[in-house]
Amino acid sequence: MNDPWVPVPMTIRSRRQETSDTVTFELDASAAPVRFRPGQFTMLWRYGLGEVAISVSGDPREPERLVHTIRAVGAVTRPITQLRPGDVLGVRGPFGRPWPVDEAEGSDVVLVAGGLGMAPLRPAWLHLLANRERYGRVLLLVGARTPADLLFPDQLGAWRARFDTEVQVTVDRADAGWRGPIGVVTRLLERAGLDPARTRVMTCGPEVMMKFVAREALRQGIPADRIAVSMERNMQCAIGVCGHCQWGADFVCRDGPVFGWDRVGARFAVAGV
Amino acid sequence: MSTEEVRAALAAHPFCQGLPEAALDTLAGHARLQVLAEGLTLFEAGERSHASWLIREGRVGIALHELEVVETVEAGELLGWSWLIGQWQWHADARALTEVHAIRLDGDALAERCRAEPSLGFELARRALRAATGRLERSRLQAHDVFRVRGA
Repeated sequence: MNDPWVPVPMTIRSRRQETSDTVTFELDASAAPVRFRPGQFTMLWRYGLGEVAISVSGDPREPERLVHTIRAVGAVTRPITQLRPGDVLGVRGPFGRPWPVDEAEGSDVVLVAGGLGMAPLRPAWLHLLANRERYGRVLLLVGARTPADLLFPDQLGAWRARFDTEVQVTVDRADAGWRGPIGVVTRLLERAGLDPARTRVMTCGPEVMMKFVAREALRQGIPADRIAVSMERNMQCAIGVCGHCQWGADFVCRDGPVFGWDRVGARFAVAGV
Repeated sequence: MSTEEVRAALAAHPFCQGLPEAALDTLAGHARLQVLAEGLTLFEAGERSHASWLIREGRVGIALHELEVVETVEAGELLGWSWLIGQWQWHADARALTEVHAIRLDGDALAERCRAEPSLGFELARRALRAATGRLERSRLQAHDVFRVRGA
């Protein structure tokens, strides 16, 4: 990694509109390849406007192609999503603790993604597929508000067509054209028929969703130290110096964003933490 | 379709897991296997409730208003419990979204048996309550609209 304080300029190579408010950018990192682990994030700098932490959503085997999926929700992300191929973003990173994909080798692995949470989990899923022989069952359970809000729908279809993976998608609401399950994503976890003794769960989505995913996993007998969540906070320095992302005794940028439920589960019961 | 076939299907269904043999025998006497065609309406709100379905395969949509499905019920799950709690009227619509293989329980007859055998009634009600509690929790989460973009 370069100097963690200095953004490296990278040119947007492609832009894909995922949903009405979410865009995936591929940045040209060929001059400074970004070797990241699934679950890590970078700081993206829109010159003149500010910086924001965004999880990498690309393939960890392709460090020259840095991919991010960004929802236009704030003062920095909104103008970033308006950029076009040829425009330049500053990039710092990668930062943070990754998903425990190495520790999960030999286990069944369930990824539970809700909404934009599919983006930080996508590198982990691509890692599982690229190293399929190292894992038992691999399941991807995806929840979205509506079918139109699903990220990477074409890829979901392709992954679902494989014979060595299990991919399930549910939405909270849909019109009559939707033929899949309707209901919350935790329902998919209930139906998955998991062996708690050999299963690891990694989940990313709204905090209330992750809380209920963890609760369902615990109910099925999966130990808390085999449940991982990815947290989002206001990250600024990204290296555990400034304290903006402090969460309990942790800095999310340095000690997370991926945490074991055994470490952080109790915090989910405390309002305002 | 023999009673043995129905009994075996019941024994294999998660709703019946751990039920005493005698209870399975009783249920088998008031159950039958069904294949429901895609698009078939199982019941509509306001109609008399007199059955439950244990879904073995396929997907049923539950709708509260017109055709908007609020939840799907799938393999291994219970559809319909109104008659068990003394409400003889459906409060939602249910339609097969795919071809559905199910075990249909005769609510009229089973309600009689439950009155005569409180232990059976308790056991079925306990299982139905578990299903209803799960539905309630999921409905709360759905009502929370967790994927709505906040602060946008």
